[in-house]
Amino acid sequence: MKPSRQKELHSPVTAVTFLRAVPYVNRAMEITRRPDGGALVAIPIPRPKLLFPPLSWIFPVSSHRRVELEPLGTAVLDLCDGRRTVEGVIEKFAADHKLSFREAQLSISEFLHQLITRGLVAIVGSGKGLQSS
Amino acid sequence: MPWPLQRICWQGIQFDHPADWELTRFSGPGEPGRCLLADRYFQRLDVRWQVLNFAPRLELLIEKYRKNDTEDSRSVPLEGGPAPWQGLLRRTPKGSFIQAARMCPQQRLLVEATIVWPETRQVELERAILASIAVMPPGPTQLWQAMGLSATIPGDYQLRGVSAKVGRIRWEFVAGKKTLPRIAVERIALPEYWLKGPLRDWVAEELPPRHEPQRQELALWGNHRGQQLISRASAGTLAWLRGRRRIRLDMAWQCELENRVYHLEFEKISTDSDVVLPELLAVHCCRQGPVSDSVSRRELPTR
Repeated sequence: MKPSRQKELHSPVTAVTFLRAVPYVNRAMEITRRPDGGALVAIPIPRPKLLFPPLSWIFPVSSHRRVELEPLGTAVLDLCDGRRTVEGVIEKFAADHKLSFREAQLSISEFLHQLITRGLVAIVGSGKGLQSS
Repeated sequence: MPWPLQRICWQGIQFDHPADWELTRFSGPGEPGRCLLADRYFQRLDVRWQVLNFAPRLELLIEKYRKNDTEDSRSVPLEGGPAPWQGLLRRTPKGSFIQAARMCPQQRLLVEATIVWPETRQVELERAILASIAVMPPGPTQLWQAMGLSATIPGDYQLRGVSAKVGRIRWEFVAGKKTLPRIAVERIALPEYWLKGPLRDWVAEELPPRHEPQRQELALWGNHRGQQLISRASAGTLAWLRGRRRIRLDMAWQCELENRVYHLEFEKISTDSDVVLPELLAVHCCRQGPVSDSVSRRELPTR
């Protein structure tokens, strides 16, 4: 990778770029809905290369990472349908819960960051600091 | 007026701003006054104020602003601004912004404002914002209005703490230099998230440790049915010998129109077994969009 391209990928994301990016959910994950509106999400994780039988019999490793979401978190995850931008997700969430844009933006940006770290969501956009689609 | 304006009243200063510019940074207790507002993409308005022991020459301040001139951004004097504002208009390749200042001689307050126009400059709106920036006169009460919360606080109470967590705004005021008496006002968004059970249980759970509930009952705030809880705690051995205790009143109600829970706390050290909220205290709810004049005042609790 060229240094300039590398530098661009690691440069901080501007507010405009982030708001115009599109969040996609991980297609490989499995969602189990709960009656209270929450959900249990299982994301497949790669098996460590050196963990083969009989080592894997002694040290069993889960094939999935499980994340429990509260009803509000599930609502945000459902809004990440691959069509809405981050701005659209924030607008819809703010309208549904009578929040101002800023109030919703703070909570959703932080929550999306957690979802990205745990592999539930990927953000696709173009511009400095984001992988181009 | 083509733009719906909202008003912010913070630490003795009030000003109007477009409804889609939201407060992103504000001064806390003991800090020089500041309110920074931004729209979805850019910072738009920065208002700063401080008390000075001398009358500054605004020309020198303007000259200081002018020192930031570069080849790409040249400044020109701000013309047509409301008196007594003086300042500069600076045009850059990415947009324009104004920097202006005025002195309020009675309060010896220097107020500075920066308004950013990333696209077209709206001169009328700019004038309206600058003209609205004013010092609030001291009186028996002081209006505090920002972050979606609006409250009238007795004038002898000063801001002691601000907490602005996600969806949960809390202001705390004390009278004088001691920690009590104390008033705290809280506005909580997403009640479906915070209230796992009835409001009655939530109020009791919010009590700090060592506070013993004395009486809990239904109370009215405007048209809202809420909960009122009186609790007591020790105020130390010396106070106990004098028959004094910390006595605290919690009042909470849910505003369905705003979808918010409001929570008021009033705490003082007293020999009384009962406590009532200060007469001049008012929290304004049932507001939708731009600030309206509707005020719901405290009513006597139902027995």
